[in-house]
Amino acid sequence: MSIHADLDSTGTRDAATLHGSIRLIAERCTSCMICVRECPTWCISLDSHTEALSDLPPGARERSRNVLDRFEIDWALCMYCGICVEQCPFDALEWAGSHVPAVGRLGDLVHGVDELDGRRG
Amino acid sequence: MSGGAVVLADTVHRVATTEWHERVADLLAEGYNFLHSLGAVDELGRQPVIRIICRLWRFGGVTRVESVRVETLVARGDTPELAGRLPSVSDLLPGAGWYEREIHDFFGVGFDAPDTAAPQADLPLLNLNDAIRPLRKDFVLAARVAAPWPGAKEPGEDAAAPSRRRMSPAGVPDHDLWGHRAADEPPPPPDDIAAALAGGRMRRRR
Repeated sequence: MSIHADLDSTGTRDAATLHGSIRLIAERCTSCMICVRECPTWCISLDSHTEALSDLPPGARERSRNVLDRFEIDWALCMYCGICVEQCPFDALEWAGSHVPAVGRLGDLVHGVDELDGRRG
Repeated sequence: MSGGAVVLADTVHRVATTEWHERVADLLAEGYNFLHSLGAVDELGRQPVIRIICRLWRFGGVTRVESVRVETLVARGDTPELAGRLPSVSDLLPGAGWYEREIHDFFGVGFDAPDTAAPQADLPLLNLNDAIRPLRKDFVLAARVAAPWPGAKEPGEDAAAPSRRRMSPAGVPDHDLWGHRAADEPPPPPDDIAAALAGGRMRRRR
């Protein structure tokens, strides 16, 4: 084990290890609720519904998938522990370097899919 | 220099409470003179003790760190006032006094100051009510009992799960276990509370 393993020779942190915020990759999310349940501060909430799959071969058993309707992280509650990133079985959550900007009202720290997924790149 | 300092895996010393002070003193004499941390874990559910862990470092140059962990088990007691005591090491490591005060406030474990110790060893860090020892595993997070838990829903469902597979959040025991009790009813066993506090699928009781 090495301390400061994420510091390169110039002492700056690699962008991938910056824990500025958490990014959602919505198309990977299966609405399995694991992050919501594991979060120690209860800062994640999501809504989902099931949809029947239409492109099944004839005679196949009916199948359905979960569709994510809403995914929110309340940055006022998040303590950046990364348990959700670690627990997600589908790698739908990952660390992002950009920090959550300051806002004028507390409610504006609740970010939905657009804010969480829109900061890729 | 690249790569930073390498910390070697901990060497663990498990000692009785009576040897605690002496072992820390011995390791200090061997050059482990950097107090990395001093903390505690409530082992309730495994055994009725609080594990106290002192981690000390010895530096070999700037790139190599040797690490030892001294661990001892203190009786936790069914209530915080009945928790065990441990000799303070703040006479050896003045900074340890702050950690000891933290452990006292969060777990109820008392520290006996040696004659030469800094007087803070037997002072609390915060003036918490004696019943509030929030890192003991049978401490119920009362504010959460009233708050709606976002994890109660099942995937693909917009309402809470049916009661047969209801999930409970960590820190909130079943109402049957923890809720209002008749005056002559005994308090729930701490083991049951600790098990309930882990969260997950609710066990049907009785």
